[in-house]
Amino acid sequence: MQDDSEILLSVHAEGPAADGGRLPLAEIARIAAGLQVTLERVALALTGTYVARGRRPRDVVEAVRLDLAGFRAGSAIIDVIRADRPEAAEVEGDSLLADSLRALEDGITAIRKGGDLPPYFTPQVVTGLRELAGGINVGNLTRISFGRPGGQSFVIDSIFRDRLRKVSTLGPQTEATVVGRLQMGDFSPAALRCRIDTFAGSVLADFGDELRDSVLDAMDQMVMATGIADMQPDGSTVRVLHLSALERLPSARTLPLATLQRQQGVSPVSDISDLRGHAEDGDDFGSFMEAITSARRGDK
Amino acid sequence: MKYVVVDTDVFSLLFRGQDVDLYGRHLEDAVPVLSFVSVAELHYGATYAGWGSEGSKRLRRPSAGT
Repeated sequence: MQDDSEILLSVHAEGPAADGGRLPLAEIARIAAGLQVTLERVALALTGTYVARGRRPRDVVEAVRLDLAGFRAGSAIIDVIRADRPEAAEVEGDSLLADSLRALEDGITAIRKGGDLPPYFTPQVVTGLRELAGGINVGNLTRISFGRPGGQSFVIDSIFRDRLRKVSTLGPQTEATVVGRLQMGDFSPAALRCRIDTFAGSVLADFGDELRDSVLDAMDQMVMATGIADMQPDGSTVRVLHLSALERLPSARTLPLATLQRQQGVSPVSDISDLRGHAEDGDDFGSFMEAITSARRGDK
Repeated sequence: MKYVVVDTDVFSLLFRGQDVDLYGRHLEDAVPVLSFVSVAELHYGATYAGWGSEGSKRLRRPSAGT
């Protein structure tokens, strides 16, 4: 039997699909998956962990993992508790879970009132909420409320769904210039994107058809790319750069070794003593070697 | 054609005629190649050791360059 004090959230579903105290399994699965995924994304944003693709950090995911603890028939209420996790992760995890739930509550309430998106409501969080609100319609579920013991409830209904649809998922934008080597172009008409490798990392860029030839010509070369950048919520990392101009930068012309060899008149070594220098009286090899060694160690 | 990149220290030793047996077998019938960084380091060493412009010219003669 579940101890009521452990219940973190009571999810109450209303609507024709919940009539008679029943709830389609598909709706339970959608609500559960939508809540868990959205909560994880809020936690990732709160911790400053921006993950484009791939595996999510395990500590963050574990901290906000929830379990379904019971279904109360008659009113279609799903009780949710914190999942078991290693003791070592308890304190920090509890804090992150509470912060994430509070952030989710505040954000949903703000959207419902038509307010601005909180900064931690990344495009990924908004996408998660859209999935969560996807089942709201007059013939299915009309309202899903999430009640927190000791906290406020937050509600997903048609008002929230309609306001969420109008929310732009665009993050902050700024004019940006990126200098790096142009790599990986996708020139199919539906894609038109490329990657610019900089010292600080790779930047994904997209461009219009008018820049297609310029990008193609500059492939594998150093470029200065200018455009409007969609920034990550941290405000300093470019998510996507929408190219408006691309300039090839002059860089060292590389020649094949065979060409250099011919130009410099170097032959294969037939006698290793050919590499020997001609020491003259007074030549100080000790200082010579010491200077080279220190230069390589960065002492000078 | 076989090309062998010669590190600054190895070139310095061969320039002095030191450890020739150790490195010589890797360079036989190969074109020795120095990176531009090695060329700069060698000239720095020559300048520091007070070899003057003649010393730098002597450095240039046996090297393959880049």
